[in-house]
Amino acid sequence: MSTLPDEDGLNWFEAALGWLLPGYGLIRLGHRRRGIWAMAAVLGLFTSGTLIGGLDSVDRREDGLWFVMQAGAGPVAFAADWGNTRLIKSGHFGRLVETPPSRLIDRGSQPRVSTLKSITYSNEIGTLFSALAGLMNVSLVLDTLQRRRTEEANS
Amino acid sequence: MTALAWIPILEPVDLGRLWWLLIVPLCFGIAIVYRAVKAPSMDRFLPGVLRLTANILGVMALLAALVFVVVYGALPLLPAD
Repeated sequence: MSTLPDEDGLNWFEAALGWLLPGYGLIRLGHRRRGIWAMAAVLGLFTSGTLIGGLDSVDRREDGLWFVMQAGAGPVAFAADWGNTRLIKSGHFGRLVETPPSRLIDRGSQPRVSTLKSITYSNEIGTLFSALAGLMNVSLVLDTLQRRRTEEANS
Repeated sequence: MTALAWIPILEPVDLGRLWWLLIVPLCFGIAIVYRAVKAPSMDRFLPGVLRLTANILGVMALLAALVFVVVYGALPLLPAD
């Protein structure tokens, strides 16, 4: 099976669907097995990241560069960031505690942090998992953009 | 934090000393996506994924061994001044 682009151009619509729901663009192109495996891998990595590091491992404001990568996984990353802001940083779950004064860190208008904030290995590995899920999905979206449509049953 | 008190997704998990084992599922996920993009056919997909995962882990282990030898074997032999 060739993976050359269609003669009539690139698969922009399917690529957009692939960003919205990882792997779905490939399924729409007829690559059902490929898309399901890819979907399971990307969503599995992202879910593992939030299980390991908690919702706090996805933070658009405090970890902006990481979030650029995590956003590649689609709306699920924005939902996790929203959940972090609304559920954890707001103190809805857990408690907000005072932080020790620091000359090095500017905490701005939020000097208190949640007791559910993730730190050390948990945060680092959780962030890494979800960021890699985002990068993997970007490669899937680029692949979807140029992959040829197929009717083969085993694709 | 104990495992019984852990609230999934909201709370980070206590990884203890086995955090480095998470490289296995990480490599497995990456291998699935790599094969999904690169494999010309979906025949024998999972064996290919497992082989690629093993290759990544093997090379990482070799690199870790190399770094270990350099840090604990070669560097102490260098003159201090």
